[in-house]
Amino acid sequence: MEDILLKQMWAAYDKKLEKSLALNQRLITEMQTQKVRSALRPLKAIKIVAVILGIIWSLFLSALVVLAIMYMTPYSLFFIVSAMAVIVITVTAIVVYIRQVSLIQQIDNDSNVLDTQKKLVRLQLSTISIVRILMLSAPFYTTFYFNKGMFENGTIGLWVFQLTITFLFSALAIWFYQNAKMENVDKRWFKIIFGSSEWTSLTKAQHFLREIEAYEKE
Amino acid sequence: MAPPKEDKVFLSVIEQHKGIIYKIANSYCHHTEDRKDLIQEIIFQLWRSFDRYNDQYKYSTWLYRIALNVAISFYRKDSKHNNAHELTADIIVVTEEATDMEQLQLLQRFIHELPELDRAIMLLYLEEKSYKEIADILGLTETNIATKINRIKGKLKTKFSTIHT
Repeated sequence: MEDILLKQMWAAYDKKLEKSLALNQRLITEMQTQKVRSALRPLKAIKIVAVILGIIWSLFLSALVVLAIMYMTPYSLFFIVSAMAVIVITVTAIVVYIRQVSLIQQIDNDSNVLDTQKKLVRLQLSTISIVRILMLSAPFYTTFYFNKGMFENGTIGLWVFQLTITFLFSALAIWFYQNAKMENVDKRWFKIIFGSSEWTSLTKAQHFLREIEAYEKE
Repeated sequence: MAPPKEDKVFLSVIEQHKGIIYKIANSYCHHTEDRKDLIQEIIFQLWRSFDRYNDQYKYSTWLYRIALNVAISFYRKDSKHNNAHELTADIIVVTEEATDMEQLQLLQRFIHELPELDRAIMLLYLEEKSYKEIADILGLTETNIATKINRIKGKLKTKFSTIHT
């Protein structure tokens, strides 16, 4: 198929479309008067709910910490330190999350295609950093309930079990924080952990980013 | 009440470029309902960006950038069918599809089989855009564009020759 033929074919298509396409001006007017919203809503309701729940959770824990400080005993220190660590980690994740969502909304579609797509994909991929941050709070959920009864009456078996769980959660959280990065997207363990459709879209995004970067270098 | 001047200009820009919008939507979406959503989304994003339009670029460059960005993002979304569009009618109505041109259908099929970015280059090339304008729209160098166009044309040529043998 010669070059000229391709263009001729396309021009004929253009001519045909010119005759057969009609613009529904009434609908455009409705759009201009803000009666129509974007079909691709960047900030889904579920994301807003996640932020609200995160804030409520942090406020609830803060209130408990204040109460624990007011009625402080040596044993409540475990609860205070654990709860404060969870609050700090949750608030960090919320801040990162809100910043990413607002960045997504600021990206202009009228910039060149490669730049815009790269920014969009990078922001989409940064979702995983929130999960990595949140995972760091896992070990603290295994220490906040340490109490007087456990120290005074706890058996060796209980403590071996308890410390094993805390150690495993800590090791897992640190490992996850260090390894759950999109660079490892093609590794088998990554595919097993992140096999759901939500994560598949991130995998696709990572491949698309590599494609864009290769495209620029070619 | 008469629409403001800006609204009229926007309408006339869309009227002039409706073919481009349709062709881009058609290249990134074969499913009719999805295409309708995509066309709505492209026009919506064009309207949102209209007051930021920079007149150092042609309307077509501005329009291609937005339409391609929206189409590629839309194409990459997994749950397109779940997006409940609010308009019940089509913004761009097609009274007669160009179905009688067998070669054209093949060309459209082959373009649709290209990766997203190659597809954008091919569309712009077939629209007779200069290498400079294609480079401006996509954010690549003119040399890079020339190399890629040759490669894509080679691919299409092979596909057509496979069909005809």
